[in-house]
Amino acid sequence: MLYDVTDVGRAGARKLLELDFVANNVANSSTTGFKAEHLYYAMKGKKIDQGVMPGLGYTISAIDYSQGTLQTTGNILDLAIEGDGFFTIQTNQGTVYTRDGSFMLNKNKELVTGQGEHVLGDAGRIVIDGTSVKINEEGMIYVDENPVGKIKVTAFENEQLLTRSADGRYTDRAGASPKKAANYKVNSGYLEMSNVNAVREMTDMINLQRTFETYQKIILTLQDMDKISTTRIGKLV
Amino acid sequence: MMRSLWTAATGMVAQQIEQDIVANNLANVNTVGFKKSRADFQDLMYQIYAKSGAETSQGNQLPVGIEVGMGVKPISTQRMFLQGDYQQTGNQFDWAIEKDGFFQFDDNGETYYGRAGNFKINRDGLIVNSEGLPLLPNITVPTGTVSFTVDTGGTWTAADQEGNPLATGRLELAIFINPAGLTAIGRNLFAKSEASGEPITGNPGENGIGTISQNFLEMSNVNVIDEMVRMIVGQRAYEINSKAIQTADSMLGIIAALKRS
Repeated sequence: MLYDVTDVGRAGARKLLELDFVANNVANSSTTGFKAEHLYYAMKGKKIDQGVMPGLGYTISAIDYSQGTLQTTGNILDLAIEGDGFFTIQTNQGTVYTRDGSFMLNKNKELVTGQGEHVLGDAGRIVIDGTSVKINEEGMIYVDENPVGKIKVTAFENEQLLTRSADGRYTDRAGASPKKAANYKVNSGYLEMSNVNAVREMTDMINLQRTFETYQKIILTLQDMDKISTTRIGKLV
Repeated sequence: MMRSLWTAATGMVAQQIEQDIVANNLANVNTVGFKKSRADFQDLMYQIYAKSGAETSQGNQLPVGIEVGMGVKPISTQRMFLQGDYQQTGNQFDWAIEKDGFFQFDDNGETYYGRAGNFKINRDGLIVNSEGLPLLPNITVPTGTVSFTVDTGGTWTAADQEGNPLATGRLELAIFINPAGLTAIGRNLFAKSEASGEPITGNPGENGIGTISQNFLEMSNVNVIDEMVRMIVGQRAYEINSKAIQTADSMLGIIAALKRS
């Protein structure tokens, strides 16, 4: 037999993993700056005439970096990037990148994230001390009409190589090659909402449940066939 | 047993919090000077399922690792200091602030800040808010005052029956560089925090401080339509999360059914 129960079982396990991704996407449908992530399968590139059946190939997860919708908040320090790139954040573990731009000021009047980590500008930390703040579309920050810094927006040659972690953070561990973002607009007073698409997640859910059911039927059929071969074939007439 | 069950459950909890905030916003749709809030969420940690560069069972190398997210957590609620609508009341002690600025109130030595401008006079002639907290700097309305006027710059004049001024003075307002960082303490009041910065006080209409409109009140900035939309979106998101739980559950059922007696 070309396939046995364990192969089908493994395929079923992949569907369970796929559901984990769907569940995480729908759970984050209200998370600021969240990017949906899906699992994809690739077949191993061997042909039947080479005497090997195409086995279970790669399992790849890909983050969907499409733009989320912008929601107005009215707070000047809420920033949303429209287009390419990420905000650059300085943490104790090194530089991380995020699309979640709900920033605030700490007691030293520095621009920080909700966790108190510094938001980097082109020339390091950004200090906002004055009576009025304005942030323009290039990310230039004006305090009392004087420029004090520019929000550093970092883009990547290959965004798919970023590693994501909690709190909407992305880290470059695998050579995603950071570069200066060119195609972007910083919107002050807006936040980028989650880009999770409910229709896609629902259809994925239906699809993977039905596929899972099919796997069950295959396993049951294989069980029946095993039973037949052990009970009938060896039987003396 | 299954990650997705718990992951989707965190999503449902998050949507419940979202509904709590929508409910509070809607409950305050007629509260003078009320500023609506929103809930902020962040994704939880990611569990490494396969590391990048790891060998698969077929001897391939994974180009990118697979990390499975574990759901969502609420991190904060943020005030949204958008301007509320103005309502004309005709009451001379109803003052609205146009653009930035907060009235300052004294609560036993602590200064609190608020946008609600529905003032009263207490038995000592002091101008107080609905809670009885005196406005800072204190304004005492002299006895015999018939008309009390405030101009856009905050200069107030108390006049008697014949229109002779009895007392005059000027209001002060406070602004913050980051009003979103103020801490809401209830009763329509806010306290300064590290995030908001120190208050900058001054006269209305000067140095970026807003102006005063007498006989007007700033209403709540809750927009019923926005809140209704958030409610609908939140309810559907809740439903979809519950579907993820159902899917996980029925897949578990399928697994259980694999074993036939």
